[in-house]
Amino acid sequence: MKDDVVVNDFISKDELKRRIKYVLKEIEKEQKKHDKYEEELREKGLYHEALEELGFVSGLNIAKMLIKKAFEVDENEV
Amino acid sequence: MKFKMKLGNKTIRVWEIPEEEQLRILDERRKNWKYPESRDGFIETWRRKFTYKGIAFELAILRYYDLDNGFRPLGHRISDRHVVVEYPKETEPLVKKLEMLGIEEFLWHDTLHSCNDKQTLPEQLREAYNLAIEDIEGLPKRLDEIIAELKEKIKLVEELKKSFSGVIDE
Repeated sequence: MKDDVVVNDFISKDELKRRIKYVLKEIEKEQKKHDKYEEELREKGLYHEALEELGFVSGLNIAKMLIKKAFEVDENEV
Repeated sequence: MKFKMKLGNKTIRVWEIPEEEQLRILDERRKNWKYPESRDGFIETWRRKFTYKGIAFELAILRYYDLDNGFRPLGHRISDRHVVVEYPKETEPLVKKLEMLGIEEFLWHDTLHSCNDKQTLPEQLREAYNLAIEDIEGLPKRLDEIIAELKEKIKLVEELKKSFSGVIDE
């Protein structure tokens, strides 16, 4: 994680790191849920609805990427 | 659906094609469906052209259906309708020029984002209209930014050219 991350008096750097990891894992869980749902929709032939789900998964990917970039989180740390 | 609402300084009539006609179109799509075509899609129920500061744009309402359940909201949305902003034929030359300058999706939007999930149809119409107005209102500023960027690039090219011709002379 970035060394110059501003840490206030209430959250230690380790605690902040733990919380970021938690958020990233929650995003991944959500992604898996939407991935599975997208597959189900495709199997039913509901391609327009599946596309919307795919958009949602991509959005979560961008969120994950931005969080990792903002805090310089190592891929292997999560 | 038939209602009136205020967009900008005008009160407009939003009169969709009648429900029976929408159901007829849906039924036709059911009859004509062939594998592997999509079993869901949209029916356009209303469209209107607007002109703001001499630039024409259109708003249209699309209603979502799936062939098994009929009309229903898509995903977690509360409305089975969403709104799109599109440009008509006469605005196409302007849009193409803007694309050449790197301005993408000018007068090209929809209200299918998760932030629109809990919006009613009039709220989506208002949002779509505002997106179109913002595009047009924001255009002079975006063009000024491009001019500034181009001026910087021209300066850089001139500097490079100057130093390059110096090398040749030697």
